Amino acid sequence: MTAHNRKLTQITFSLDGTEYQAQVKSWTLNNNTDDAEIFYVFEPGEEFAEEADASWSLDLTMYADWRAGGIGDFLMSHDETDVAVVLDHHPDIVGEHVRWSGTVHLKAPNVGGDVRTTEEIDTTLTFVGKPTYARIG
Amino acid sequence: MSAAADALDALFVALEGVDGLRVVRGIGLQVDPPAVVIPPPNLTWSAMGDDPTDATFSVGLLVVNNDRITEQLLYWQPLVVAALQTVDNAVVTTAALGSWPAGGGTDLPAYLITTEVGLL
Repeated sequence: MTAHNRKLTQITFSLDGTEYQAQVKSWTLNNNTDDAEIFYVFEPGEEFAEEADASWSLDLTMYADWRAGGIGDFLMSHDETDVAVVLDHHPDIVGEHVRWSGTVHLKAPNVGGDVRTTEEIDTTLTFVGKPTYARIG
Repeated sequence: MSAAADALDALFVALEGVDGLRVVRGIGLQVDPPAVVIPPPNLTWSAMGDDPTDATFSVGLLVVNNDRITEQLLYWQPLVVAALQTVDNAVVTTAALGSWPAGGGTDLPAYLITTEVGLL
């Protein structure tokens, strides 16, 4: 039996309602939440776990776009603000289309690169709280 | 059929939808360009089990050897790539300039289009 596997080929990714997936070269949704803490007591079997506070982030590598409203312009002009984010994963595959949505706190990105290379923007979007996960279809 | 054979068949079916392009299902046959040929894929096993997880095809896009090689290749390339990427779990990664034996001792100019298919 072959392991079920998928190429990463399609997403939709929006910030504040504007889609930017055409600029995205690489993405990783990180769960940075600490491990739960286990508390032990003097009665075997009665130990309990206390979950850590949620901490999520979205790493993005994008081709830079400095036109008005382009991703570079958007990130710079929304520095240190909260915006809505929606990321649809495998939107083209029925039965595997899932979505993460929530609010991210934007930080203006680093800008630049080596001479004669294609300009890219590497940035990390920090989620305010935990993204909402949903199965779409 | 194996998953790799299914993937090969799916690529052929997709390419048969490109109007005006001959799809050659076989190796070493006389080819009348513009045409596509697909030799056996390279296979990768990267999961537990006996079945491969990935097949990498080098899809040959062959055109007539004349003074319009560039125009022909650049005309057919986007049509072929679009068709290949309609196949489930297939991605095109590169198109390298090359040649292909077209029968009768002649070689035809070609794009060799690397197409990776995750086998399901």
